[in-house]
Amino acid sequence: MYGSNKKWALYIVLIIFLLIIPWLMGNYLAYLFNLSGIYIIAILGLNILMGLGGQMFFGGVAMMAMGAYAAAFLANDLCFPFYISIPFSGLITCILSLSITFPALRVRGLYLAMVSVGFHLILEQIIGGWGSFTGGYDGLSLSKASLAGIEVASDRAFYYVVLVTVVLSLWSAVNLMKMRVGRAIWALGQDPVSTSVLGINVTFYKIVAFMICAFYCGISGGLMAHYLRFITPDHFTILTAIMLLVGMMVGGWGSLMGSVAGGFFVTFLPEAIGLFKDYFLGATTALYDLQATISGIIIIVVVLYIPNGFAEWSKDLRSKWGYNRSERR
Amino acid sequence: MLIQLIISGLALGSVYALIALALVLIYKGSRLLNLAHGELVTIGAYFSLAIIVQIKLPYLVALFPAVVVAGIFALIVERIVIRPLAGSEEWPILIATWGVSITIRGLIGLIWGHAPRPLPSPFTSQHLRWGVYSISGQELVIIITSLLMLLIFYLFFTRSKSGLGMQAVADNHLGASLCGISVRRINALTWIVSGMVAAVAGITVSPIFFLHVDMGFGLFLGAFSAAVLGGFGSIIGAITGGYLLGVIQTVTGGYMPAAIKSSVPFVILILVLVLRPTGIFGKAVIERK
Repeated sequence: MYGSNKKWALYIVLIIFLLIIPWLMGNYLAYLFNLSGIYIIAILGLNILMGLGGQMFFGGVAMMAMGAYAAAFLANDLCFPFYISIPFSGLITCILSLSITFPALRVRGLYLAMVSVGFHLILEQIIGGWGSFTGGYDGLSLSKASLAGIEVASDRAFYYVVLVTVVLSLWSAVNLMKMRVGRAIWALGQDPVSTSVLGINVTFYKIVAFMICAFYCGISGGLMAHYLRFITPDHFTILTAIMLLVGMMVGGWGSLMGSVAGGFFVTFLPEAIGLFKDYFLGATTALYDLQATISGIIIIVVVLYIPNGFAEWSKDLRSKWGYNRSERR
Repeated sequence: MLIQLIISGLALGSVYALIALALVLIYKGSRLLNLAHGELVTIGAYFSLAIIVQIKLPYLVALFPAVVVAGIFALIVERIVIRPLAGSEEWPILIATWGVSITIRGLIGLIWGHAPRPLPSPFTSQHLRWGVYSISGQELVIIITSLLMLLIFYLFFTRSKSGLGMQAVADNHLGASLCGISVRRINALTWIVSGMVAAVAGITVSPIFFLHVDMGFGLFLGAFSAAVLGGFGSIIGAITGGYLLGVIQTVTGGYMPAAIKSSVPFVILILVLVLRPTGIFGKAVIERK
């Protein structure tokens, strides 16, 4: 009884902390927190498809881009408010992602990885080339988000939008993974052959896993479009895709709560690299290249030495909040 | 027009064929796809640039040290990243090699910057004309070099002891090690050889396409599509697929907008995997567990 009281007290403190946190810090830190939230949702989606479903899919950022441009279309051309256009951008991404889902069903492993890289690059060409709809490389702007006449465009105000979306996404993902669908996807990631022997429709649940990933990534992209209010193809490059992968691996494969750690890691890593660069290397060094180098080294180190990411260090968290691939090596 | 495009396509195809050959060599040896292979191409090209500009060696002489550097680099990658992961699943290696690719690209960007640079070559300005058709000297160099490399490979595989060892390891790891072949040494050798082949491809192609950080990755994606088109895992398939893809891409680029040209390999990759996953020559099952 005492233990459960303590737990509730902890939850209440956490909730209050989350609610007041933007007022404890400057605008820039609030901006970084919002960005982390956006990445957490995308990493969550990828974690379900890659970490639990075992599909080597590198096209999460392409799905984010679809969501972002869908949200921009809904908000600009159809005048939808942000709280409608964000969920709808998730749904539109699901539909658009069918174009990659069906080729992806035929292949797996490294072939799927390469197909998804190709998918990402083709989409980049389409976004860059289809200037009348996407604004090409000049980008596309959105109007300020407003809720019942009140503007929610500042970093601190938008923090609450991101917070609500992240909490809803995590809550739905954790519950989804405890349902029949989640168990089927997890089984798929363990061994597709045994899964089909158990009478689980492998193709159907693969599609479902892709759709879940597309929905989360689409929502993340929609949120990003409404928050930054300006999107260009440069927001969705192959480096962003790699950063999402870094976040997922650092957070832990198949660990849903690890996505939170991963989202923060991915957002704060470039900042930390920027600080490091200003101190030690001077302003002339290209941040982009340094970021690429360090992310690459992190990927190698994580794969070699901590294959389960942060979740390795908090087994308790892992067993409580999600499934995990049991044996990796 | 068409025949002219096919001639240029053969030059691009030779590059694809060489890189695809290197990819397939590694795949057959240790059942993994090296996503960092394009970066070995880039390393070779940039080192030859450094040698030509700094030491002022002629183009054809600079080729050799740059190729050796790329071979050493491939060996380092094999030692640090691949060997500790030997025997693990497919995807940790895939992701680790992607990490290597990103690291190398970042380092090249830090050292040489992002501006595209030309690789000076005495052959680019010369043209060989035959009626209405013409071929630039560099394209001829590419085609001849790749044919020469393929001949060397054929002799290496069928005559030399290491080449036969590689074939044995590709067929069956356990069987090869029981015959007294050191699988580890052969794998390291495979990496060195394929790194060298990639570097040759990079050095011969970069006088035509400019040197750029991302050039290797683009060529790698094309080469992978070519290998899949020919049937991944088959050496003949990789070479045929390479030439075929080069011709298809150049011909498509000649009749369609330039933006479509760079997407051709991915479209072909997706089409082949959906319609005929085994490619032209492949007989192995594509869904390998």
